[in-house]
Order: sequence, then C-alpha cells, then structure tokens
Amino acid sequence: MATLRRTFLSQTGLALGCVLFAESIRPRRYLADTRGPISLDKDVPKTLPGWVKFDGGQTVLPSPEVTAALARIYTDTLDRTFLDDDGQGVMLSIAYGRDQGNELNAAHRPEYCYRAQGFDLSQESLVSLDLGSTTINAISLLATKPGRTEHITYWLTIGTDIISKNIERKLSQIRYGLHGDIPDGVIFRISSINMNSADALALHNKFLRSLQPATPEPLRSLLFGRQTQ
Amino acid sequence: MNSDRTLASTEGWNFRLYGLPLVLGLPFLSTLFLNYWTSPDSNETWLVLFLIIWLLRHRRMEISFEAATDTPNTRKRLLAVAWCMLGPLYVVGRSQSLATVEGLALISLLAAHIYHFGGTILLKSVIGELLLLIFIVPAPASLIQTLTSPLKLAVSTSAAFLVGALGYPVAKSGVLLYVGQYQLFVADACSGLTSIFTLEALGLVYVRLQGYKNRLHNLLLACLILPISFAANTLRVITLILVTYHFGDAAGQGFLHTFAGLTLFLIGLFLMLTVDRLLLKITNPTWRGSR
Repeated sequence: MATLRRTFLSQTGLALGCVLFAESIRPRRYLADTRGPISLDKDVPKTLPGWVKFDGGQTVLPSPEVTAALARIYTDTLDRTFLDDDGQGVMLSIAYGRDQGNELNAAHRPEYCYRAQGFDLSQESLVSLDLGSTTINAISLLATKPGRTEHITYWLTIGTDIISKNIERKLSQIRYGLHGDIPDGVIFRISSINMNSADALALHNKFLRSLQPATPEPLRSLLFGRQTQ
Repeated sequence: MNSDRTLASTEGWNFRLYGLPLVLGLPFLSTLFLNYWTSPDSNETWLVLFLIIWLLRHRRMEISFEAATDTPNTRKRLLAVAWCMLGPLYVVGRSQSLATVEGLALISLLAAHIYHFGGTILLKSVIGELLLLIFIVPAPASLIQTLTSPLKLAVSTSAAFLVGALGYPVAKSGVLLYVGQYQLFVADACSGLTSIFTLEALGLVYVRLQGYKNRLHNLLLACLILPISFAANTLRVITLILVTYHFGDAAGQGFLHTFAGLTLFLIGLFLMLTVDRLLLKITNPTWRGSR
C-alpha cells in the first residue's frame, strides 16, 4: 500500500537521521589530551609552608579485588599524609580518571570505600571552604569504626567543575558533552583522625589554603576548580 | 475504511513497520550489550527482552489492530508531536551516553509509531510488552543504590540469621559476612540483587499469561511477587554461605559468578509456581487437576 510505504520511508528515515545525527555529535575529544601530561605524584607538592610529608599514615584503601575493578576507572591515584607544625595530620587521597564522560566510569565517593572497610558513616553535610582565590562547596562526613574516628572532607570534579550532588555531575557531563568534550575528573579527599569536627574542618581549611597555591597548573584547576578571582 | 486484523494475518501487517524499531533499537541494544550486560550486577534484563519477543509471537492471534487505508489526522498529529518532543531527547540521550534518556525516548517513540499504525486497539493490545520494555532500560545508578541498599541489608541479615539458626558459625558485621574461617562482602554476595526487578517483570508476565479470571488471584499473585523475589534472593545467599563454608572460598566465588543469576531465577520461578498453586486452591476450591 502506498500509505504503508510512505510511513515506512518517513519513520525509518527520521529514525535513521536521529541515530546518525546523534552519533555525529557524540563527544570524542578527551579533555585530558588538551592539557599537558599530569602526574599526581610529581605535581602534588611534597612540602608546603607549615606542612611536611609523613610516611606512615594509614589511608583507607579499597580491598584488592575492588582496586582491580577501580583501576579501570582511575588512571592515576595519590595517597599522601601531611603533618603540620603541631603534629596534626591530614591524609590526602586523590584519584584521577581520564574518562568521566559516562555514568559507568564515574569516580566513586568515599562512602563506597569506607563502608566496604566496615566504617559507619554519619554527620554528612555540605561545607563551604574559602580558599581565598576560590570557594569550594565540599561534603563533610564522619566515618567511625571501633578504634578509629575519621573526619572526611571531599569533593568530586568533572573537568574544572566542582561537584557535590549527582545531578550536578550529570549536568556538568552533558555541558562538556555538548561542546564535544569528554571530561576528566577527580575525587579529592582529605581526612583526619581522632579530632572533633570543628577542629578537623579548620585543619582541613588550613591545609587546603597551603596546598592550593602550591599546586602547579594545569593540575590546580583540575583539583580546585577555576579561580574566581 | 477500518478493519480489524491480527498480527497473525498476513495482510496489513508488514515488515516495513519494523523499520523504526530496528533502526533505533539495534544501536540501543548494542550499547546495552557492550556497557551494561557484561557486569555482574546486570540483573539479567536480556532475559526480559527475549521474553517480550516470545510473548509477541505467542500472542500474535490476539494482537489486533485497526488498519486504515487513510491514516486519521489525530494519529498523524500525535506522531508529529511525538517526534518534535522525543526526537531531540533521543538525540541527547544517545550522543551524551545517557542510556536512561535514550531508552525511554525510544520506547515512547515506539508507542507513538504503534498508535499511528494501528490505533488505540493495537496500542492496548501490546501495552503490556511496551511496559515490560521499560525494565530493560538501565536506571540511574544512584536510584538503583537507594532502592537496593535496604534490600541487600535485609537479605543478608535474614540469610545470616537463618544459617546461624541451623547451627553454622555465621556472623554479620557491617558489610562483612563471616562464615567459618572465611569472610564475604555483603555487596558481593548480593550482587545480582537488582535482578529482583527482573523477577518482578517475569512475575507480571506470568500473571498475564495465566489470565486467570479470578481477579483476587491475579492481584494476590502480583503482590506476592516481591516477597517471593526477596525469599529467592535470601535462599541464594544461604546457598552461597553454605557452599563457601563446606567447599571453601574459591568454590563460593565460583558459585557466585557462574550460577548466581540462574539459581536466583530458578528459585524464584519455583516459588512463584508453588504460590500460584496454593492461591488456586484458596480462591477456587472447586478447581481440580491441571489447566
């Protein structure tokens, strides 16, 4: 029938058009390739004004099976502990993923690691960290286990956007995608043990204020977002 | 102008109608296959897809449509509106790797396409299969997390309790299950728990297929599917615990990855059939023998 043929042509044609158009605008450019090569170990400073590297911190790491699975997502990781002049410690843990353009590759939040190690998580809240040249909205958490209390402050990045909620992550991914870019991203986490939460947060703030200016570009924007001033 | 035909009859229904579903569906399925169906937590949705195709073929005598030599304007307009709204959504979903958006836009376009061809009669005929298609669309990971975390907790706690009651040295602490000298991660033990949704889909299909006249029977069965899936999952975790205890860690992991999904389904199916028989006896005491 003529109607049927017309229907077939128009519908299949439209469908084909959509598929081909979608594939043509699919982001293919990795943002990571537009920057210079980044090495977390080399580029993150080992000494800061008022802080020294300490070898002996026990950062919470995922189990070996999980690490193998995570190796698929993270292209570079760093775990480093710093002590300030008063001997108070901050454990820094950064995981960088070259391809954050997909929900399946999304960097995992610390809740994942910590729960898997038997920690109880509580007191989750949004905190605003004023680093002078920029303000970061981070998430603050308390992780407890018999014998260990850990205050965590963390955030995620997609490209140079700081993310706290998952919907922000999706929107950021789409924004980069519509520009044709596949964004990279990090999960940036600092934690301190056995302190009260106000002290821990102040300590973290102090640490970040030292770390941020000392970190070279392009890593600095990747970790702390674009400068606002 | 209008005449009723069925999917089984040769005139009117034409292979050309498969154009749109195939053109949109095949890329979507390849994305699913490459990115989603290979992970252990893939909840066996491909089974649902086979089921849908089987159902359509099985029911082809019943699926009737109103073919028209001249498509009514309402249908044309609806299809046009659908394309305007869903076309861009589909494009965004596909190009930005948002499988949920892509899948839902696809299914909606399919519905509009079906309506355009066969009217409300056809749409109503296949509405069950269309809704089942939604089970294949991957849900946002955060949503799945929120829904399955309490379930995983409940399943693992129940399983640990029951195995403990049998006298085995089992303990649950946080996210770890201690079995004799071994320890299992609850998350691993419960991987594939998302197939609880697939079991739900299967159950609904079963209810539809059986087509019992007794509404109470249908309703009860539909409601009981969720507890049945829960029980099936608990039984699976219990089996895992027992296998690990008696045959060791390696055997447990082997069982977990190879038979996990399948055992779950078999258990679920078995439980569902049993409950079905029981319900038959309760709601229809005069019924005897098999259908």
